[in-house]
Amino acid sequence: MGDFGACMKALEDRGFKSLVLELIVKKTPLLGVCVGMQMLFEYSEESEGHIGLGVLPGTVRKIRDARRLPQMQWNTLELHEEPGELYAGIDGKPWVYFVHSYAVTSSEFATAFCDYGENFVASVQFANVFGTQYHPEKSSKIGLSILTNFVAIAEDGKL
Amino acid sequence: MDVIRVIPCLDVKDGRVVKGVGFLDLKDAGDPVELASYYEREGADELVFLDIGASVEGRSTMVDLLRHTASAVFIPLTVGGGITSLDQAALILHSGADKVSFNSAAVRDPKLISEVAKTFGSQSVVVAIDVKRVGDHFEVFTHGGTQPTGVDALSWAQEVEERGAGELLVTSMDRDGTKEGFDIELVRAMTQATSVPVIASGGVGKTEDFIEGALEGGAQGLLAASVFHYGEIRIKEVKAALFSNGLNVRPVELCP
Repeated sequence: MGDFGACMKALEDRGFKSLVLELIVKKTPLLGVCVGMQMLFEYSEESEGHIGLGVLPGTVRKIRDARRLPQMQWNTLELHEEPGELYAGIDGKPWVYFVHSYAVTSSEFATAFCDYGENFVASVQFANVFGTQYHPEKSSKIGLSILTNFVAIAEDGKL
Repeated sequence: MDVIRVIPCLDVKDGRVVKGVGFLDLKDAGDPVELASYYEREGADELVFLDIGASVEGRSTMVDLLRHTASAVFIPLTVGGGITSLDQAALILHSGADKVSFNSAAVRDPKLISEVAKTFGSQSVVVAIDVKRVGDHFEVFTHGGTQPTGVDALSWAQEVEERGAGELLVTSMDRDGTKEGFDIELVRAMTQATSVPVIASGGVGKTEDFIEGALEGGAQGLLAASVFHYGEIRIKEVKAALFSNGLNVRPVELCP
């Protein structure tokens, strides 16, 4: 959690940026949570002058038309028709916990959307790379199912 | 959509949960980790731990308590009470809390808010504002409601938001422990003066009080302690009442 630019800088300063990119290319399963998902994209309005990992195309923007920011609450997911292995065994409109003021509003890799003033991308998947704008580790039973699914994906090694 | 959060508050002293009436008369109400799991099952959307001991020994107990709780309970945890520095906030956040709440220390040193927000992000910074009506205005009180500050509560709320607070926990010291309901005028004034989420606290005695806090006060979070601890009101009753009044809540049947 934290500011997009500060988190990217921390990755770069500790020499992790190239390592993360290298692991992604080697098909290591990766799950980015919250700003961790945002960092998969190219840019963020939160931190001009910083670039993201650029694994996925797009810019993270401040959420428009929200009554209150940050969105700090539980909200429901609108799952993609085929949301992928991360959502195995999960259907309907799962409730998950969000804490953020910024989001990506569209992505061809979106696996779920959420509405908070405007519709935004709640999770993404591109090959072995996963991202959740919400916090599965704080989303009680459903969040634990999502994390369990990710662990199963990582153990399977099939992507 | 906008979803109302129902938040039990656990007052902690020496590793045990206590709840006083009007912050004074303490009464033991149980083990924090067990209580936290219980509230997750009950459908609590978040939990607040308030360290009312706030001694040096109390702090290391809090770290242990957080480590145990965060490994067993998977909903957001906020910790407040006697946190006076960036280092202490860091320790609390690294021990498993998602948010730290500042009260007296923020009034004494407002830069602390900006400092923690810059380091850990606004989403991890809650400013707790204890308020009493003094004449025709709302005044900030500190040290458990015992010390007047002369600071206007609404301007203080706006200042801490500017400094990077991601959430406000507004307690009416006039109502706390009375079971007469939230101070709705205070809650409404606070939600209108700011644009971050506001948690209303102090005074709930019945289910209708929660509805009033959300509908008339405009609060995003509704906090209560004793009515939950002593089982006078169940969270599912609160959520059912909120829902039937047109407010969105996370349904309790989804909880583990």
